[in-house]
Amino acid sequence: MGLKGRYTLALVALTLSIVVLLGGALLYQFQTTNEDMRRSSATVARAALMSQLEKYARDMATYLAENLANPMYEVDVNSIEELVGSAAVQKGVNFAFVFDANRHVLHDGSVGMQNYGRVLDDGVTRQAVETGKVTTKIGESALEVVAPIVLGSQLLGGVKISYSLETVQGDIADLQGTLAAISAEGTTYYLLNGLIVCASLILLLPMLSIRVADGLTRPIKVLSGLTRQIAEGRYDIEIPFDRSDEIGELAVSLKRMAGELEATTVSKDYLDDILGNMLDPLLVFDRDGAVRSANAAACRTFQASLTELTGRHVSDFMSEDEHQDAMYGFYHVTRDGGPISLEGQLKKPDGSGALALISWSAIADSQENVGHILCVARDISDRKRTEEALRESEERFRALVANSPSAIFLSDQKGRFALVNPRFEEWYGVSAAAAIGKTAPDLFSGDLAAVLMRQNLALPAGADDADREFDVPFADGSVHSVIVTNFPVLGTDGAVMGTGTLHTDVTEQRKIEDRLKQAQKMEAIGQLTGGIAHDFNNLLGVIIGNTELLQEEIGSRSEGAETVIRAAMRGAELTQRMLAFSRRQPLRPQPIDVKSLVEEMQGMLSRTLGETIEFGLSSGTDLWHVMADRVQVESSLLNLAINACHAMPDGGRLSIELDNATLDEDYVATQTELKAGDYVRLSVSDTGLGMTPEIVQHVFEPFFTTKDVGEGSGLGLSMVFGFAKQSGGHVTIYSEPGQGTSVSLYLPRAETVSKVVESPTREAHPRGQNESVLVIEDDPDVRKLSIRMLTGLGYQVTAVQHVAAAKDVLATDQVIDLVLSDVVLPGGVSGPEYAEEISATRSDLKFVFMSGYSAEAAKQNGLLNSDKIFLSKPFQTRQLASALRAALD
Amino acid sequence: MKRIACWMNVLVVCVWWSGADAEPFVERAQILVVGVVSSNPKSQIVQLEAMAGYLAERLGDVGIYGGAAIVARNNAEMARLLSDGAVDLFSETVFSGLYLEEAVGAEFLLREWKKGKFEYRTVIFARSDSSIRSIEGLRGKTIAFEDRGSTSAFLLPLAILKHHGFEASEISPREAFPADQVGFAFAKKEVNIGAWVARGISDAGAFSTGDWESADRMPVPLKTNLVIIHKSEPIMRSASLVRAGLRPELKARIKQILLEMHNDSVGRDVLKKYHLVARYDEITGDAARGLDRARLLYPLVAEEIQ
Repeated sequence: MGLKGRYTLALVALTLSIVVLLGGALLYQFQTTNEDMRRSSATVARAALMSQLEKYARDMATYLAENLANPMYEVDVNSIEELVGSAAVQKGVNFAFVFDANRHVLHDGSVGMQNYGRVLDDGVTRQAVETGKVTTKIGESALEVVAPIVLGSQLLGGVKISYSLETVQGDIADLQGTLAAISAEGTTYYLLNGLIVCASLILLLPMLSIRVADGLTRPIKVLSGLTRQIAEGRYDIEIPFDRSDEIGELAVSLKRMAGELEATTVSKDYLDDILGNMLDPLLVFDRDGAVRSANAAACRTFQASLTELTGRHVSDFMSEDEHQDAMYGFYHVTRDGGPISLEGQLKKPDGSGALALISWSAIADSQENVGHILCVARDISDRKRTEEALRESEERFRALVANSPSAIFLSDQKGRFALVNPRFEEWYGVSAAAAIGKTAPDLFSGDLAAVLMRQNLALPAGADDADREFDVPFADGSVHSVIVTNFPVLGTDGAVMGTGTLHTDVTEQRKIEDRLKQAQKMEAIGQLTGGIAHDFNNLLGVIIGNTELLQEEIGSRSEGAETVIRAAMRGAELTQRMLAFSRRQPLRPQPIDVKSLVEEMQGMLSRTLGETIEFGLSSGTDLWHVMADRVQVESSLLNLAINACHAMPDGGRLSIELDNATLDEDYVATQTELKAGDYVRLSVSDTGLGMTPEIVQHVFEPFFTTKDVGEGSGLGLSMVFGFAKQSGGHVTIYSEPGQGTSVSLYLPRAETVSKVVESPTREAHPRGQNESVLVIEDDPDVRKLSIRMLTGLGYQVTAVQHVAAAKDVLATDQVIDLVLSDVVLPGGVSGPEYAEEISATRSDLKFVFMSGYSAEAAKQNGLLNSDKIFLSKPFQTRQLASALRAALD
Repeated sequence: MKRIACWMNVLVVCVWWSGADAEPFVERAQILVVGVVSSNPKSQIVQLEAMAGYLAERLGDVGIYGGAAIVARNNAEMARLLSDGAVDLFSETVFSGLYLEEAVGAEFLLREWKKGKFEYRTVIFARSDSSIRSIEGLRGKTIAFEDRGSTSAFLLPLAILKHHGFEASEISPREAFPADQVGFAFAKKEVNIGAWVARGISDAGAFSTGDWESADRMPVPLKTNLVIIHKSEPIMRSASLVRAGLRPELKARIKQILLEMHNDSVGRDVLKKYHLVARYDEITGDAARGLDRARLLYPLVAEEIQ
């Protein structure tokens, strides 16, 4: 008998037993429960009916007692009769009495009041009268209820009603009969149904059992078939049912097993395909190191067929210098059996080596005995080179970031620092270790946190560096101007990973720019001032010269002419100062012992300063000589002293200090037009009113003055500034409001010192010896003045207004001994250039140049060689006469 | 205007037309109006209409073509109606009839056998275990009457008491009063009067001899302990009266019809409905003497009849 048959018999026997037992138990239980229910129902029904009747009787008695209160009080027998009579005639009422407080019946509801005066001496009536509460008594055949009649606190009597229990008992008997009938009918009904069900089950059980047995065994049959399919190598099985029981779990396990078998079980062809398509060489050695098999990649690598490779020793494939390592891998696997990967050099047929990652593993039998050694070699030359290139790139990046003058940091999209460079650490005082993973607000506060969090990658249109420049507090407490540059940091997928930020310190750059602007401004003012002075000099020259000629013509001294000349000379003095500022005054640099100069001026300065100002002089030892115009040094010192005097209207102290100063490259880098070297510093300090920084930055500008109108020209410090710059020196000023001012004049050290004794000899005008002078001057007044002066000095004069005309003159036979030429001439050719040109053919021809510029300025401008004789306009007849004689003689 | 106002006071007016083809408009003089004093018009109006209709149907020969009924709320209103000529015929007890006779000249027409009785007496009773055995024994005692409208259980016994020289005043039950007077209280129902005396609420009670004999109004268990201490002379039970000034031929014709009314079946049916009246007869002999006795007593209780 098969499994199905055994299942069927067992199920039939089991279910029959269950049916019989269950049916018997149910029948017994049903009958017992039915009887109990019938009894309980009768009891409950009786109790309910009695309770209902008692409640009704109490309610009726209470109602009557309440409504009888007034009639009882008023002895309204008529009303009492109506109330009691209505109660007495109700169904089931045996009698209804109304009695007084002495329990004497007052009315019984009947017309004849038959019970009038009867004494109610029963217990229930007494109890009701004594307690004042509604009292009931259930007897064998009647229910009596007594309700007291009370008016306020006065007991007037009561009402007693007797209800017959005959009706209730009849109802209970009827109910019990009905329940018994229902019970009997139910018993018969359920017994019959139970028999029908049992019979049906007996008929159906064999069929059901067969069906169930079939259902139990069918999945096993299916699984058995699937197992055979797997055994035949067909792993793509499908489970035709979906169950969660043990059969289902078995089916799932079977399917999983088939899948695993499919994944792990391969054919030889499949393996050959894998090995044949491998890019890496694969060799199989026996324990002696002889090749037993190899794949196509190995054949290609070692340029040999499988047959040629077979039997060769493992050492034939390893480079000699890496031999030991390669053999170590072979012996390691042979000995220990565990896989190992090593880097080593493969020996190629051409003798070259190829760096490879060589993996060794053992092929063991079921007894764990190593039979063959598998070797797979992967050429990693390119990868190594890539890694090296990447490492070098990272190193360069690291060096670039580490050595950047800018603070560089990278932050992720949540603003957390991912990288900070040493400059960042230095500037903001936070180490990289402390910063990584933190946000700027975690580490800093205030403006610095805000700037560090600033990540506006897209600046608005028209934005410039100013929009990205911020004042940032550094860790050392200083505030620096920093330009913030943000850029996105992209991942390999092009997505933004975070933000890169550069902080570039432009503090020094801004300072230099400010100084450059100041220098350019001073240069522009100088050019303007120089131009004006140049033209003024021409005018003043005409005035002075013509006035002198007029004096000669009239042959006597004219007070008016003298006044004109003095005024003109004062004008010339002003223009000299303007030229001094514009660095175009004629200077006569010479080695000067500044200390001696100051000491010589000490008396004059003391007198100038007055008695309220204390004067002091201090000097360093071994003071150097300076190379400068002595007169201008004196003038500058005097100017500075007078300014100091004016700054101390209520008196004070003026100090002059002298010392040597060497300005190094670092210092001069912060200045303009200043060279590193040795200087003598002449400082004039006062304890006066001082100036604000806003005023200080303008004090060197010409005509800028804080004095009242008429008290100062505004050219004193401008002249000092221009003189210092023209002399290759430098001037600084430091002032504090209410504290005083100190101006330092740096004059360059004289390289050679020779005693120069000025001999301001005043000799008579050296007159000409009838030499011929060609005047080239474009200004007609100056030209005319020159003619008159030269004529007066005894020269033959020919005057032209430009070079072309001069050439024409020289092209004639006219004798010309000397050319007096303006430096700057119209027509594109300057006076010195023309002189250079003509000297090629007229080397005998002498030249004297004149200009509104100083000689130094003219030289600096390339207009004049240093060996040329030069006259600064305006000049006097004496100066002209001397210059001509110096040229001609 | 006064006439109109009186008509407006009529609670119920119902005009019965003697024939459908009668003249569409009937003057007041051609209508016989039957009235009664009652606080329950609904209970009276049908029987009045029946009586008015019966009479009107038979009075055509004296110029009556229609009948109407009026219910007055009290004697005073009835007096005004009679004075205005709004009521022609009405039934009343003796003392009320005497009041209307004195007030507006109403005239006693016939004796009325109401509920089959033409006269009755009043009994005054007390508990048998009390010391009261005569009217004189009631000085300083209390007596229970029915209500103010009752002749036998109020007006007559009160008149008797006053006739015997007692000063009587109304009190509440259980209320003290002057010892030289008789206090009276109203028990509302005849059975209550017996119970009050039996239960000691009052010392004596009074009602008609018919009530005394009725087991309903005087149950035997109560009556057992009571004793009659005075029985009055007989007094007319009820009377039929006409207004003053009623045309003689009409009055005579009405009297004739009423005296013969119990002789035909229609008349008996109407009489049965009309206060269970058995018949009418002339006020003569004992009836006339009884009425005279009542006239003597009337002044003693006239103030109670309004």
